[in-house]
Amino acid sequence: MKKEEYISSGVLELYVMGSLSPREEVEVEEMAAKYPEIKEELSKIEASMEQYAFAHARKVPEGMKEKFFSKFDKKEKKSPSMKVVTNKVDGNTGFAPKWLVAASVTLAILTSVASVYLWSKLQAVEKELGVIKLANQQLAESFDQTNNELQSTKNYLSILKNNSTQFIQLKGLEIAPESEAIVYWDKSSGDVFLNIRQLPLPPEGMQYQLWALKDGQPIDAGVFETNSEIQKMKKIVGSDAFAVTLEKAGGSPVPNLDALYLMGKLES
Amino acid sequence: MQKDRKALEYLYDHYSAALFGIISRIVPAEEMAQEVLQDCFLKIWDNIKSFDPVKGKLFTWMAKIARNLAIDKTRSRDFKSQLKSDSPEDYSLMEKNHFEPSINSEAIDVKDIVSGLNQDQKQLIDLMYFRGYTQAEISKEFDIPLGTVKSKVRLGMNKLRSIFNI
Repeated sequence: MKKEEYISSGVLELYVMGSLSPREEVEVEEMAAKYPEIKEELSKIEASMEQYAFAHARKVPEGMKEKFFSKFDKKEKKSPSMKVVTNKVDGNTGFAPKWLVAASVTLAILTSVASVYLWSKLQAVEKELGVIKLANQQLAESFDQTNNELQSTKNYLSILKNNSTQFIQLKGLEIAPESEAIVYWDKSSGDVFLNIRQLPLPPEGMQYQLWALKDGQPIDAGVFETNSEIQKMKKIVGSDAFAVTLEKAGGSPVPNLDALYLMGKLES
Repeated sequence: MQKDRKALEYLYDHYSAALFGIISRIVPAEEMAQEVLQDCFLKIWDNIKSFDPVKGKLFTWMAKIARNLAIDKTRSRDFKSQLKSDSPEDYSLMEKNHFEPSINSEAIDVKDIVSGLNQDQKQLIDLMYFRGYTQAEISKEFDIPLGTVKSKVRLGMNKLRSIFNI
């Protein structure tokens, strides 16, 4: 018989309840010795029946224990030598015979070992929980970041796809000839996006500002950071050209033309 | 010797109530049950060297001794003469009248167990574990096939295990 079938047959339960014949009992013991899975199942059944018996325990009447031990002591006095001999033969004269070990192990499992085990388990679980919380937090942050990136990419794409969007290339002027940027301007909606390709880091307390130029008049399109992201700027209704100047942080109402960094005209 | 006595006291302190619970269910007559309990510990003591921890748990082994001694008692002449004066054994009546609640506060309440097991399962387990019925006797008494006894017991036991978290 396969061991799984043997386990599920119910024979192990009957064994623990003492309902098998001696012959059947031997068979179960042999199977348990052969298969660790059967042995494990058996000890679980034993543990539950032990609990079941303890749940059905009956208070032993007062004085029973004393009565038992006075009888026990009398009996032991009669044949003490025999006891010693058996002890020697079995080699179990040490202070912890195997059955006592088994008894104390039973109790230890119920008390100290169990609590130490549970405590260390709790510690481990708490540690694990901490790690998971941290990982979760990191995940949430990276999700937010990804979500933001996705949003700006979507915006970017929608501008690119839009037929009315114009691309204006801004080129570096004398101050920083290497500088470069692109403005995407949707004429119909007025949306302006700025893609900085290259621009020197602004000095402390200063910020770059984008301007639209309409009929020679500068219109504020907002300040921006020099990161690589595509940034949404203020809406611009009409424009002939775009320019970037360096201004004090927060921007200026009129551009400082001495600090003109980028300039680009619309192709007409 | 002193050490061995201490060990036996330890066993008595920890297991006598559980074993008495088993014995009392087989031998309802109070005085006789007490007698069996005392015999049981003497027998445990005399045979303790034959207990093999590899084969199973100590409690299983002790419970078997208690059950067998109690069953032997029910077959003895003084038990039968006692029975004549008592009414015939009624399982459910016995459960109700004879047994006070568990004294072991750490153990799970008996009520919790009973509510988890159905009546059939509990009766089957109790008849075998507490009263020493063999599966053949159960099969005959309840007129169910041997295999069904096994599977019913297994079902009940699995429920017990989930109640005890084992």
